[in-house]
Amino acid sequence: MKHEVLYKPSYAMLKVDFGTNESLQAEAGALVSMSPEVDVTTSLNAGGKKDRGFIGKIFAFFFSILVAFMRKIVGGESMFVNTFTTSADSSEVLLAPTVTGDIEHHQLNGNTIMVQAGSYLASTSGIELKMKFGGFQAWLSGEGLFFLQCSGEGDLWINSYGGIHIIEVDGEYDVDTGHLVAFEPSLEYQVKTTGGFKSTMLSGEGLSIGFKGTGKVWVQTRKLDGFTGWISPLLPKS
Amino acid sequence: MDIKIAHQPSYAMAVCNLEEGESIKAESGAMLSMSSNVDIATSSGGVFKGLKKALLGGESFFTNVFTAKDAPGEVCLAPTMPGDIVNIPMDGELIIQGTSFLASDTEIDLDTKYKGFKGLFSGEGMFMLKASGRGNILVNCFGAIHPVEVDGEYIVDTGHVVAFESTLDYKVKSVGGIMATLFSGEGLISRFSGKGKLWIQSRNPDAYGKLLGSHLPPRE
Amino acid sequence: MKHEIIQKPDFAMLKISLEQDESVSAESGAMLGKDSNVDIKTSVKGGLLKGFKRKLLNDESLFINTFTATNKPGELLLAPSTPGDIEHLELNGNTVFLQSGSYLASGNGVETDTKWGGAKAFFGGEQIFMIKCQGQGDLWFSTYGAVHTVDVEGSYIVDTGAIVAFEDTLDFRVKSVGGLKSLLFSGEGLVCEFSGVGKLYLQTRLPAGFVQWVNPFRPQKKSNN
Repeated sequence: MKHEVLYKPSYAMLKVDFGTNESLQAEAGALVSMSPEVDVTTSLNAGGKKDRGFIGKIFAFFFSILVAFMRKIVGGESMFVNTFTTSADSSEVLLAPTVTGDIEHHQLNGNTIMVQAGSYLASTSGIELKMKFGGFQAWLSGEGLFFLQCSGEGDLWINSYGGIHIIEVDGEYDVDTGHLVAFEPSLEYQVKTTGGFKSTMLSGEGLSIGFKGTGKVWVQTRKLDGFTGWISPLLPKS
Repeated sequence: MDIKIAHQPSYAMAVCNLEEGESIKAESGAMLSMSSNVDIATSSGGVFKGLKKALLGGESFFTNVFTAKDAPGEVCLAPTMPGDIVNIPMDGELIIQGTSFLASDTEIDLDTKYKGFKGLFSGEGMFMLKASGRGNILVNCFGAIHPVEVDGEYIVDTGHVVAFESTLDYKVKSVGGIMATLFSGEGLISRFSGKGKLWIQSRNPDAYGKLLGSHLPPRE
Repeated sequence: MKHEIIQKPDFAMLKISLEQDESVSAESGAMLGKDSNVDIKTSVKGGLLKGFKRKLLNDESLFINTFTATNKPGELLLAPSTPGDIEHLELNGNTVFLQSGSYLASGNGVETDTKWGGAKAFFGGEQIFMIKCQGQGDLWFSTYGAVHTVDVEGSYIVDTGAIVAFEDTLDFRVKSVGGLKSLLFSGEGLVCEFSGVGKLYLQTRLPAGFVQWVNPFRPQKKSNN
């Protein structure tokens, strides 16, 4: 499999060339273009593909609908993923996220990275995705704090709204939740209000995540709610 | 006329320097700034067979013609969406996604009633223009512009199509069956065949609009 | 205070390194990240602290947060709401007019006046207005799109939505373009004619155009019959 991120850093697009025994999984809606012989199958993105018995499969199906549904309303990510396979020696697939910004490639070699649900773009079959809940405080605020725990062996691509910036945390650091893309699990994290309750109401700042320890945090330089907040007062009144 | 494209590739703007008496026609709303001696005239009939507002989902396709009077003048044009602008010199026919048209020489004919495309594109205000003639045409795109030399077959998500040479045949279909259409997130896809150049944009305005819209207050 | 503009020009972000007890003011909602020892305090410029919902405020107010590094130095990352660039100006007693939607941050010596005479003249009743900035110190503003600097010498016409900032050495006159027909169909609304000599900062995308484009994508209110 060959892969390349084109048009960095603002309108990044992922180009993958793959062949018969390889497959690629991507967030639904990410397809830009592909060679004609590529096959696409759609499935629910509930994470984890374990072999279950018949009853187990039925239970898993309904559970996965619930999980995927929850993920959709609070995670901002669509419920479904597409799996691309091909019958040819070399086929091309071009993938891009909906928002404008960058794409970053991560090679996982048994390590784990926590990715904000909306920032997942694509991965290869060796990567396991498990959904983790960020905490009720975040859920109630509508910020949609779901993390995808990505682990295993293979390639993972994450996207950002805006540019991607790495923060090397060594101590304590606060990050606005809307700007969070991914972080290393070596860090402890806690969802909190930025500067106290009164400040949250008036400051216009939402929730933050306080990170403690040593590890990397990836942030995006724009957030969707910031942009829509800017658009709102400009909308026509009728 | 001298056209320079500044601030590529993300917030590109076309800086057009017109000789005295020279004109350029541009999509309505594209003017950012201009020298004070440049005249604007709005054209909605004649060569441009106007489409009814309703068909375009509330957006009307009108163009303005900018002419430098008595002296050379400058007009700066910018599209609505972020992204790039490409200056395509043409001598023949080019099919352009309607919202991607930015400006062109006045000699280029724009046909908005291009047969076969109406109704196939279900996105908001999506329609195709057929540009024909000889001259320069400025095309904008949402995201980066990615040219593809098609020789055989190629499949593109319809929302990512910017323009293509009319030597290419193309069919619109859904990807992977009904289930996939409903759930896969991809709307319609275009299957191009033959030989010719195709321009793709690396973002889908329709999908982006829907995402933003879902975060905005509802309207009456 | 040290500052750095990162990820120029498309999704620019401002990184400020504050000395202990140093502070900087920023537009509300702009905080991306900060060292935990950087404190935040909110105030409203140009109006009383009334109500929580920013959109209910009809007067010319700016919500400003003041960030202060306590006990030791601290880092602050600020990001604007719109895609685009960030520009830094150093004010030395001079005056610059700035579009309210573009204000990002400023140092303590810079005063922002939201109630001067021409504040509402530019944007025809929309909720953005022109701020008068003067004093000594740093001023940072963001642009929707790229920042395009014009050295005006004589006269120049600009769509008002493209105006980000301009020096007060320029005279300005807001008017409509090309007669009634053009107003209805040309898509251009108000334009501003600048004359004199001075710097004009434009953004290469028009907010009004984008807002018009995104409007049909909003969900429709369901009527209860």
